[in-house]
Formats: sequence, structure tokens, C-alpha cells
Amino acid sequence: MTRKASPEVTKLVDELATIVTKKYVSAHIFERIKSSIDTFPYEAEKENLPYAIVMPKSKNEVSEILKYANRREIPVFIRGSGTSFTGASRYHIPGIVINTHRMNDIEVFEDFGFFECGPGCICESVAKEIETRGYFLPFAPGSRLIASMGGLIANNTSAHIVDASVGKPGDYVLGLEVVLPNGEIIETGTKGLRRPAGTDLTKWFVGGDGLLGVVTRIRMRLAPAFERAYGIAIYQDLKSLAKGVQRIYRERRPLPLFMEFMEKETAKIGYKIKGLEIPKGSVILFVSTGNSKEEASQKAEQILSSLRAENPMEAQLIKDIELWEKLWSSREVIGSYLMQESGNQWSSAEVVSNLMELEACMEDASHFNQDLPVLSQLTLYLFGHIGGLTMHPGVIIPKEWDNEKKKRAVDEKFQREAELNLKYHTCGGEWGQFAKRAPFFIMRYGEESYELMKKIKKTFDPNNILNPGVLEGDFNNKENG
Amino acid sequence: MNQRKVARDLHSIDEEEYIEDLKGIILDAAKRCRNCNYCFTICPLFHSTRGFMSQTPSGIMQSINYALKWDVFKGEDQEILRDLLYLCTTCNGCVLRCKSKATGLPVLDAIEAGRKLLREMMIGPLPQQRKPLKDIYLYGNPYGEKPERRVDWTKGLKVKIIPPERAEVLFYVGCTTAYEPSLHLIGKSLVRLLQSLHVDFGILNEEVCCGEPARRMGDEGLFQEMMNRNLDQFKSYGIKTIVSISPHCFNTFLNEYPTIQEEIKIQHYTEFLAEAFKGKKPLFKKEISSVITYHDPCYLGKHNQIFNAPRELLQMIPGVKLVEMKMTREESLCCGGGGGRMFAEVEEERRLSDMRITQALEAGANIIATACPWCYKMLQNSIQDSNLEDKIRAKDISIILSEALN
Repeated sequence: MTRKASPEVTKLVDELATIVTKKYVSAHIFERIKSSIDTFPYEAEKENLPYAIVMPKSKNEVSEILKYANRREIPVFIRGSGTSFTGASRYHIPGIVINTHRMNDIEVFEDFGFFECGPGCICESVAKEIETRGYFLPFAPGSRLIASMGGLIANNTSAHIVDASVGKPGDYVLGLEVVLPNGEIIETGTKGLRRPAGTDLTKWFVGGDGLLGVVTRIRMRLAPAFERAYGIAIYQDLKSLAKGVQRIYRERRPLPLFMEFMEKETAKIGYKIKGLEIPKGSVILFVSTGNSKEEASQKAEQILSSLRAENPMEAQLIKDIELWEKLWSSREVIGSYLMQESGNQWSSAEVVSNLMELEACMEDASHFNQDLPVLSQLTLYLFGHIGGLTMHPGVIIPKEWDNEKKKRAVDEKFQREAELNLKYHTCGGEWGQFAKRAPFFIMRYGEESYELMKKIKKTFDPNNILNPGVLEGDFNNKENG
Repeated sequence: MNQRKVARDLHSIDEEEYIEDLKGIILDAAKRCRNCNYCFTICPLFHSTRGFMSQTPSGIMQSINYALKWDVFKGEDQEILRDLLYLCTTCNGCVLRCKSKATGLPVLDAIEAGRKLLREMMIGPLPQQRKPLKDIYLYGNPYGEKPERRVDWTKGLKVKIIPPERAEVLFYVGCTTAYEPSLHLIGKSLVRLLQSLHVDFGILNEEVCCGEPARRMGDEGLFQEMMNRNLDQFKSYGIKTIVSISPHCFNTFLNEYPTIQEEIKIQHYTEFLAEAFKGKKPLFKKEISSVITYHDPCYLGKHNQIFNAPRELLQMIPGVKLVEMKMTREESLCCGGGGGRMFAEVEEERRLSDMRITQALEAGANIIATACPWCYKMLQNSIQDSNLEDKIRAKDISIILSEALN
């Protein structure tokens, strides 16, 4: 979609108001700014601010907005909480923003074995509804306090959970209600607990990067909660740590629900904040599950037996829950502590290894910023979800840097991330495939795959109305995305 | 001790320097904001407004930030900006959330700096807030009441009036309790409780507003004027301990009056009574068979981490069953009365106090207790407006304790 002459905003607002009432349309500058910035450290761009923000309550209102946008050929961006890490919520062209906040209801149908929620529902609210009833939440984003269910499903991210253990959220999605970019409304999937064999339109939208439709209702299976057991291993070096993780898979151990790691220097920070004795090496923390405490502990012991084979300095179950909570939160607080101590902003990449080359990939990740003109000026920190073979090398971006330098830092991060994920034949498993990652998609899967994606997008969205710029990447740098 | 920045004495700097200070607070905080938006869900506005992204802590902070950067202070925009800034209840939830999960920004300092800046630019406060500010200036209270009527509520009570009398403890009543007839019972109950403990206390004959509403509404000059008037009185009468009814006055004395903490012990009445009644449980002889839930006032809880003392007091009463609402302690939902909102109508898609009453009913309570005159008024109004008097009542803890004294 090319940049077109701006519509008359007053008229646009009036017309949108006929769909959602005037109360739920905003076109003032402050809403337009806040609805177009994301977690990237650089500033909003005047020329790309949306024209207006609209808050529909129902699928029918979403449908009417999309039909209207198609008639007028105005881009539409879908916004949950705007916390994308790949630039998917930073727009490169003005348009109408649909804020999903009002579609935030949740209903639990225990007799049917599923729950349903709107895309604006916050993950934490879902957690409160289902965990208190004894069910398991099959996703664990660090941004659980604010991430919207619509964004979570569009990215199909299990986030910190080890995918190979319990799968991705999509494995729990029974069906969706979707408004297509042309305004047509469809229902996918089933109200049964057996997902469709063969064609299931659900799959186009779960993990669809928001390209093909607007999800207005999500139905997910209720899975019973597990009992948990906790373990720790500390290694002298990252090589042994990597070998320990490889062993878990190769020795066919019951995979943990969570398995986090902190490189030695990074771990020191987290441990210090939590008042723990400073670790002498790099740390693995993991959570095993079972139908009983005993079963969870047995599984954790099996994992420990693999980890012990690589000569850790320490490897044991943690039975003291208070200690475990301190240890676990030592990993969680690192980013916020670094930001608070420096007064600057955290920025990290998502490097994913294959199983075979984990040692080499960890070595590369620990030199993530090497030789990069801007990022190499900064200290590197390293932690991640090692059970999912994922590493988050990160830096603290100084607030004093000018906008351009901050942009270069972000671009270098995605460039190096792409190089490493190409080298190990992997891809991001947490944050979505396009926006800043569009060049990687082409390098990783070839022009043919990218062209296929464009054709698919055109089939669903002939006018490229929905979330333009996400598939195209950095839109402004191209003649015609 | 609250770490919020205290503005410099306005007499010591010129106007330009003051404005640069305010801009610095805003720009520095906003530059460090990661827009992670973790502050959204703890914010009362996220639950009570339409939920536009600018109606959130980071949204308000970014609004004033970009207003400065892009010079957006003209026409309709200035009113929109003003309305956004004055929406905030100043509950401090965002500051706690940012500290525990994100960049640890002084979000509230930035929002209040924005209000002060708008006040300097003659854009703020909200139109309805102008009269209470004028009344504080003219009468020493935001309600335009006569100063000489301030101690009327004590008629018939044996309360020392300072001066001419002197007392060990200054019982600081606050404007709302002193002038609002429906709240006199709070003052009277506390007198009874203090007397039962044989505390040597008195109230100021010429008590004036602590200045809190002025600062919340952005009028720093008026705040400092009231602060100086109060400090002069405290000094003149050799005050060593202040026990305050309102968490707002308490927080102002404790965290916003510079240096006072070194010379005067400042306590909220719940803290003072919890300490004083410890080990004296038999004093509460009358059984109160009620299911009570406690609503944490923001300036007691989220601003000063006083969560236990009020609950300990309630648990001293025989027969009381204490239950918690789903949003409690650090995550307590504001009643909507703070930040100058007692004096103006602002956008509320869902009234915060109504939501709070619903939460109290969901918790199974038939009394929602609190320890703040404004919270009490907000909650009481919601109960009355919703015709729920037969299901639940709002009560200040002081009243419940006094009833239990038998």
C-alpha cells in the first residue's frame, strides 16, 4: 500500500462514529501518539501518526469498520496493548487504529471444557479466571500483566514455556471468530474438544501475525493444572551448560515446563538483588510437572541426572518454596534492575539454536554485539529460555543517545539476530515473524516463500487494508511495499 | 519513607528556573519510559475510563512529554491535555508497578509536574477546581467555610484547643472532617478512642488546610503558602507528635513538608491506635458480628505501605470477620477521590467507587471499612446511589472501633 492523500479527519471521525458512536472514536494528537509508539527506544514520527483510534465492542462493529476502510482504502491497524518487540505495533503509514480494549470479556464453560474470551482480554485476567479454578495457563509471556489475548494468539507465543513440553497456545485453540479484512465474519474450529482433522481455518489466524483477519473471539481448551517440582544446576561454563541441556533431549527425559538460564555475570546481578549468595557459574532453573508432587519430583530428578553428567558445580531439587521464589524472581528482575540502575532502556534479541549446535550458538550469543558499530559500545547481558533453546542477549540503550543512534542500535540488533538464526537454521519462537524481521524471513525462507506470503495476504486482503507494513517490514524504505 | 521529589522553595528560584525544573522532571521520566505499559492494569483509569491508551499512566506522561517536544499547547489540544492530566487520581499504583516490574520511573512526579506546568501556563486546573483553590487561599479550607466554625464540631466534647491550651499530641482533624456534618462522627469517635487511652491531645484553634489539594491540582505556590502557615503553627506550639485523620494530610506532613520529620513524629490515626491498643484488646468489649472488608486508602497504602495497622485494629474487635476484596493492598483499587478529583467531575465510564462496592459485595462483606474521609464519602455515595443500604454500609474504622468500646 502506498501513502495516499490524507482523508478529511473530521469526516472520518463522523463516519466512524456512526459505527461505534462518537464516544469511542478519538482523533486527538495525544491518543494518536500513544497509539503508535511501542517498546523501541526511539520517538514517535509525526508523519506516521494514525488519523483516528476507534474502540469497537463487537464483531459487527469491527466488520463495519473494515468495510468502511476498504471503501475508502484507508489502512487499519489492530492494537491490543501495543507491546510488540518486533515493531509490529509501530506504524509506517497513517491509518485507523482499532483498539481491542472493549472486547475484553471472558467466559469459562467448564461443562464444555473450554473458555472463550475477546481479543482485548489481558492474559493476567485469563490467568485469574482459569488458574483459580484449577486449570493450566498454556502461555507465560513476561508481559502477562498487560499482553492482550489477541496479540498472543496472533503471535502464537507460549513465551517462556518450553514449547516441546506442552505445545504452543495454538495447540489449545479450539476455534475462533474472525472478521476478514473485507468485513466478512467467519467462525472456525469446533466447540468439541477434538480439533478438526484436515483443513482447519483456525490455523491461518493463530500465529498469522495479524495479517489475514481480526480475531474477535478465542475459544481455548481448559487443561488441568499440574503439580510442580523445581530444580537448579550451576555450571562453570556455558559449554557444559549447553551439553547438559542437549542431554535432556537426547536422553529422552520428560521435558520441563520451564527451563531458564542466566550467564554467570548476568546471574550475579539477579542473585544480588534477591539477596542470594552469588553463584560461581552460569545458572539453570527449571520446573517439572506431574499429576502428583512425587511424579513431578521424579521427572525433575530425571532431568537432573542428565544435567549432572556434564559436571555441574551444583545440581539439585529445590524444595524450599521461598528459596525457589527468590531464585526464580532473580531471573525475572534482571531487565528491570538494569533499567532502574542505569536510568536507561533494555533491548534484547531472540536467538534460537538448533539442538545439535547449541554449544556453538551459545558461544555466538555470548558475543552477540561483537563488531557491531553501535551495539558493541555497550555491555552485553545474556539469559533466556534455554529449555526452548532460546537466548536473549540484551543491552541497555543510553537515553542520551539521539533518535538516529537508537534506531541504528535497534536495526543492528535485528541484523545480528537474523545472522545467527540463519546460521543455525532456526527462527524466532516468541515474537512474530514480520515487521522488523521481514528481511530475515526472505533470507531464511527465500523470495518464493515471501512471494507466496504476499499472495496469501492478497487473497485475504486484496486492498492491503489490514496492518500494512507488518509483512513489508520497514515500509518507508520501499517504493511500494 | 516515600522518595518523591519535593519541589524547591518557590521563593528561592525564579519562575523560569521553576518551569525548567518541571520540564526536566517530565522529559527525563518520559525518555526512560519503555512503553511496556505494565502500568495500565494497576491504574484505576484503565478500569474506569473508556480505556483509550492516552488515559493511562504512561499515556498521560507521554502526552505531556510530546506536548513539550512538539509544542502542542494550543486550541482544543490544551483542553484535552489538561483533562488527561487531571484524570489521574494520583493513587501511586503506577509508580509501584513500574518499580517492581519495569524501569522504576517517577510517573506521578511527571504527571504532577505536568499539572504544575499547565497551572503556570494558565491552562490548568479544571474549571471546577478553581473555586476550592481560591477558598484555600481565602479561608484556609477548600470548601469556603468560615475559619471560626472549624472547631464547632467539638462542642460538648472535652477537647483541648491549642492555643491557649497545650497538649502532647496534636490531633490534626483536616478540612473535610471539620466541616462536613456527615463526617463529624469520625472526629467524635476518635476523640472517644483517644480519651479511652488517656492520651493528652488537642486540636488547633486555627487549623488550616495542609495544602495537599493545592499541590495535587498543580498550585505549588498555594501549597507552599499553606505549608508555611502550618509549619509556623507547629513550631509556635512546640508540637512533637501529629496524629492525622486523613491519609492525605498525613502523607503531606510526612513526605511533602521538608525537614518536619526530624522534629515531629507524624502518624496516621490507624498506626497510632494500633500501637496504643496493642495488648489492650479487652477494651473492645462489644461484639460486632459483621463481615468487614477493608478498602485501603491510596495515601495510606500505596503511598506509605501502611496495610497492616488498619486490619490489626479491625481484628481486635470481637465478632468481626475480616475478608479481602479481589483488589487489595498494593493492588487496591482507588475510590476515585484523590488527585483533586473530589472537586471536579471527570470522565468515568464506570464509577470507581461503584466498582469497589461491587468488589466488597463479591467478597461477602456487609461493611466496607476505610480510614479516609474522602474514601468514606465516595463509598457512601455509591451505596446510596445504588440503593444498596440494605446490603452494605461504609464506615470509617474509627467509628467501628468507637462502637466496639461499648
